[in-house]
Amino acid sequence: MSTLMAVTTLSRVFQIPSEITEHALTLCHPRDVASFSQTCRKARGLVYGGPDQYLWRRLFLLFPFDDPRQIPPPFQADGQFNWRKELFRRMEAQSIACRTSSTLEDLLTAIETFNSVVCSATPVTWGHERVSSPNLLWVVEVLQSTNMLRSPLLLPEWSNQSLARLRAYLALTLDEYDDDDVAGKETLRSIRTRSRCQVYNLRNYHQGNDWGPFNTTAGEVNWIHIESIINVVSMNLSDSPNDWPDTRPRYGLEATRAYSAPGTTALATGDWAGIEGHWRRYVCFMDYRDLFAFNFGSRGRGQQDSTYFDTPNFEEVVRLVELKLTLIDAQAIPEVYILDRFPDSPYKHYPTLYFTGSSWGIQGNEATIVGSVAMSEGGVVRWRFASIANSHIQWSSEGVQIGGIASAFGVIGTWTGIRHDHADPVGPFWLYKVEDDHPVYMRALMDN
Amino acid sequence: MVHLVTSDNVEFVVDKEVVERSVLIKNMLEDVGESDQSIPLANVSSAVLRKVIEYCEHHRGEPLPSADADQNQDETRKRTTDISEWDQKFITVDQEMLFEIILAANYLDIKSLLDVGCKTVANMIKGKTPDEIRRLFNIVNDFTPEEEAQIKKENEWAEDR
Amino acid sequence: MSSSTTTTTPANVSHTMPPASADLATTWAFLEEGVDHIMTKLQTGVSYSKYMSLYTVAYNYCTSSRMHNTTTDTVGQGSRTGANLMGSDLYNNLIRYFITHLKLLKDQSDSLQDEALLRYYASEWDRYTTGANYINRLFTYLNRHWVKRERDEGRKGVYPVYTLALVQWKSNFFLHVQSKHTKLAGAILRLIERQRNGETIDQGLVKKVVDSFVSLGLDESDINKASLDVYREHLETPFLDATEKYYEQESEAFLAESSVSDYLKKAEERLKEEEDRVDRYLNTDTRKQLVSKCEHVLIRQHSDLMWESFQSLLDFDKDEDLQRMYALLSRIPEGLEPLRKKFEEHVKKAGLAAVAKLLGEGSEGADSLDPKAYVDALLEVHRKNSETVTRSFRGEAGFVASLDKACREFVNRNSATGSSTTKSPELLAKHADMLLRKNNKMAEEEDLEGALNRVMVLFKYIEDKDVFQTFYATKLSKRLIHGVSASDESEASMISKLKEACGFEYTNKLQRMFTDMSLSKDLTDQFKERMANHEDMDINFSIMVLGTNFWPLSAPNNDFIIPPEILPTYDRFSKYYQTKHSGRKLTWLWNYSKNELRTNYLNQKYILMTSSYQMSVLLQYNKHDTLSLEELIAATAISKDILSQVLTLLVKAKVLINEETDQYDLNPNFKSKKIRVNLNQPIKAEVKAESSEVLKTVDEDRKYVIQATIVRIMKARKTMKNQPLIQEVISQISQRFAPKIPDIKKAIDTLLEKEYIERVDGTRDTFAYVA
Repeated sequence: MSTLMAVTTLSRVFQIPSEITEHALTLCHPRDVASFSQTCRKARGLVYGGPDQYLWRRLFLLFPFDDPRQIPPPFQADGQFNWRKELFRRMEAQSIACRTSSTLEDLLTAIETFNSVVCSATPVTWGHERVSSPNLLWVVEVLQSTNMLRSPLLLPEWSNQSLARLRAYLALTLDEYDDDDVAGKETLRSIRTRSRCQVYNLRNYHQGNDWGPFNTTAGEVNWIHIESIINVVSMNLSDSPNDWPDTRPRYGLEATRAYSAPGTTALATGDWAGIEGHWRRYVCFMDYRDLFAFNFGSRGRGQQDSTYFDTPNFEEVVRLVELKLTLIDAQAIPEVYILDRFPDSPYKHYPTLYFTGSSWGIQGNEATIVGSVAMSEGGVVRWRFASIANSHIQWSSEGVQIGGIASAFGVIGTWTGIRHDHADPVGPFWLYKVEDDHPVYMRALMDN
Repeated sequence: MVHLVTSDNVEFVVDKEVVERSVLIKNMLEDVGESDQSIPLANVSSAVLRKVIEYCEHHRGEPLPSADADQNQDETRKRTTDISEWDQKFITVDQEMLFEIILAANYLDIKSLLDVGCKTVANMIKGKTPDEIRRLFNIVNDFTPEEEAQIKKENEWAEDR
Repeated sequence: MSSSTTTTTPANVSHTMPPASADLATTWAFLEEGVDHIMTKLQTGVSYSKYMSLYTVAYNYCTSSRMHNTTTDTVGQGSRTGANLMGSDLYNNLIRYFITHLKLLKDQSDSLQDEALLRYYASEWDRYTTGANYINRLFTYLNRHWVKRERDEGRKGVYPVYTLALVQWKSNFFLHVQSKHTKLAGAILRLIERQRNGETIDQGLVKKVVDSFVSLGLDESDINKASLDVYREHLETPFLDATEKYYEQESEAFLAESSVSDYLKKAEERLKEEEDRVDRYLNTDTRKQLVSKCEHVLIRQHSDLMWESFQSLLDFDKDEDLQRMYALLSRIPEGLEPLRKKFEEHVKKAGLAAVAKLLGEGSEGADSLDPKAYVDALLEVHRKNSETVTRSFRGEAGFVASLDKACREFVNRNSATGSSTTKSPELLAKHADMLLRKNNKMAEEEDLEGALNRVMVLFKYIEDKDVFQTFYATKLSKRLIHGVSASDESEASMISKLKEACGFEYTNKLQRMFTDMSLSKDLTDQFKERMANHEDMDINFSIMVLGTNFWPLSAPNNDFIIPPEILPTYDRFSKYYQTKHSGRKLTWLWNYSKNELRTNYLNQKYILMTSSYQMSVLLQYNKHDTLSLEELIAATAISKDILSQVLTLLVKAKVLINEETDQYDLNPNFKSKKIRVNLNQPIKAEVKAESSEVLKTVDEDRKYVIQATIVRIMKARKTMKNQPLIQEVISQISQRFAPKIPDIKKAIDTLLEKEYIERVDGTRDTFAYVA
């Protein structure tokens, strides 16, 4: 009988208990496991025929990737996590990134995957602040080793939301070029120009997007706008390395993790967003006349002219503002709070929070801040606040927390006049949390 | 001293500290109490036990993994097939012996030795094509051509073109 | 070295080990015999070979070579082999075994009750759990692979073998016994009740059974975590109910025939007893609920009664009972509040009664109340009740507040003060003055520092601290210019106490007075030195130069002709001072000066100690023996009113004789027992004026303080409405005195007039600061 033959020639691999064979397979790269499955029926059965996800879960976690079960409940994927499918998806994305033959469609699929891997990094936990997320390490490693984002196919796609989102998370960390890299410098310059055009175009601010970095009033994020803000502010900051040198926002993927902001792993009850404490905010703006010439100048006839930013006397200003914020009861919102209220959050564990505080700007200018933070659809943490100086509200700001709750990356957004008048200026800002003993510049001036 | 008797009826007399790297024997000595009876090891031959004792002698006194720890530890640890120098030399044996050691470690519940064995198997598979793996382990390809096509599709995700 | 603790019984190995390829029936038959041996006859021992054979058979079954020899594997149908498939066979057989095993226990327990049931349960529990621990280890391989994997996949109801044994015990034995009128928990509760009734019980037995309830709890999501769900449901809840009932009955019955004092003792003991019970044989988790249940039944439900009897405990100084009542009521929320209110009322009454009694004793009434007696009476009430707070209420802040509130009330308003808020500060200041005077008996009798500290105790309660300040300053100035202060040290000590209580500003003037005194001493010395070469300086002269703003002294409002005898000295000093401090104006306070005159007209030489007015009158008699009132007025320029009082004193002292109307003769036969004759008595007009003068000063000061406060507030706030402004003023000033609202309004009007502030256009009640 032929079956007897099979028994006698059975490989040693199948003469040890299958749980041990599986254990050995979990120590392999998923690709090796795929190769093994193609050797014979028994091997294929062992790899693909299991009644449970044991092997694939172990392969996924030991890869390693972050354990998706550790993501807080409201944002966890519904139902059973499909370990095999998700591992395939990620391996596929890696293959796409490696191949030179990938199509644009492939690339955009891979980008979606990378975004979702970034978003499923586990929150930073108390006592493990320095433990990096395997998810994020993997994304950076793949992107860095493959140079996928510099594919010529992606160049004209800068207005793709998924690509912009990934680029926003990366915050130019993969766009560092040597001084003698002429082409690289040129790339950066063109990124800067298009980002400025996006940020300072007054037509990008209207009632339909809450005068902020959104596509709708429901808080759907406009990632093109977010990426542009990050580009504008961070390039302005790297232009002036000597201004306030000891305070810079943290950026890069690790900074997008939930609770990576200083002191937020053990949050006070009630302050789910980590609002209470010290903050720094970089605000940029163009000279008012420049802003208007750019938007309504005769040369462009309403169509902004990007060469405007190349004129030699064009100037953009960066200002540092220092803030200290405290929560206030929803019932205790001061009269001056005339901002629109956020709609009720769909997540009952994350009620809209209200805060007030002081801010100190250049020459020790002190203002009062009032605002609120809401968790809107899709887990987007929205910030809305206004500054009050000389007892009247001046500016209102709209922003989005980049990454998870209380991320070190902070809040990216835009400010405009409180009444959104036709002639109000606009500008980008980057708000981020700092330790209580973070170096001070503005407050120090004031105390003297 | 503990007396061990192998499947081929060879008696080994081993230090308690050495033999207690086997969680099976450690637990039994704890439960039943110590005596001068010999312990029959029905599933281990003398040739293999000699290797196992060599391993245990070398690693005597090292901390044992606690029963609870190995539940979750694996899942947070990074996948690694690194093997220490001594262990590597120790495990450089023919395939027959390798699988015998794995079986003995599994039976005697010596986790670190089982790990060394499994890592070695993983390292053997690593980076090889299906054909190479077949040759390595003497596996007979029993797929029909239709199955062969299907299985190729099944593994497209891992293709590295 | 190893020592043998087990004797091998070869009979146990009668079954030969089945081969590795044996089927389930053969395998299980072998395993079951071994499992049953361990569960029921462990005391007869287990040999190594028996142990190893059981382990090996279970291991072999999980991993047997059969696992890879099925040839009809197809993908999808599942080729799960090894421990992963065989595991459930063994697992299910283990369940069946436990069920059968426990059936026996069930049957045996049915006839048992109470302590017998507990003993049976406890010994079976010991045996069962010991055996299950063995089994758990024999089936390690099953636990490590099949069970772990099933659990990882989220399958409910699969547990490691030891946990499985407990789960089976619970569902097949424990719940069965409990289903019969909670027979098991009931037996425990009855034992506990017997212990509460004073009987001795086997606490170890209770503890063993209770511990099993805890072990049976299971957290499905994490089996390594302890869960108290079984303990809570089956023991804690009925135990708490039983406790409530027991103490409800006991406390009702006890109070029906015993006093509240005895009940307090009883409740205290019972609470302690129940806490001990938790330590002895319950789970610590029960402590909180048990204690709060007991507190509810033993204290809360009888709190009305305790509150009612509080007053009589106070009245009869029942310290121990008070302590106990405090300790008990402090355990329940709001338990102390009624006591605090009652205590406050009690202290207030005691204070008022003490003052009323004092007034009743003296015949002179409130006007001539002895300050020391008054202060002592108030202090005694404070001391006694303060001790009660410390001793019986452990110095608890709420009672301290009650004491303070009551003291503040009776110190400022009692039958001696009537409606005057200035009486108490005045009396207290006078008392302080007497303490600080030379030759004060009090200072000799006891520690002066202590007496001053007691002054401060009352001072804390004084509402009009500015009144005290003014009286104190006046009295201090008298002590200093008359040189009757007890000691600089004590004066300084008192001032630093006041400073500590009210701040630097409060004592600033007082401190300046001391400075002036020491400067004056230096000045006198320097002046004397300077004048040493003037031969005609036969007059002994000393001077005090006192800053007008710091001293509560007023210049005489009548003229005074400086007698020629002292005129040269007067001129010399004035000149000397002008050269030293040109531009300063000296006002001579003749009404406070004193002199010593030597008599030459009598056989005996006397030294007459006089006021300057007396001196100027007596010096007239250097040239005359008899003078009329008119002549004296002309010679001295002293007003008739004051002069006649001066003369009356001199006549009374028999230095002058007044035999005809307005005719005063020198008495040539003056005699005195003492060589130094003190004629310098205060004249009535001065004494009487003093108190009202002080109060007038206070009123002036207050007006100024209110205005200054308004200006300060407005400067900071720029604009403010009327009502908030008044509130702010009151809150800032009340530390010193309680300002009256009409006074504040008047001050606002004054400031509007002076244009420090103005009304904001178009409003009636908003003010703006005028820079």
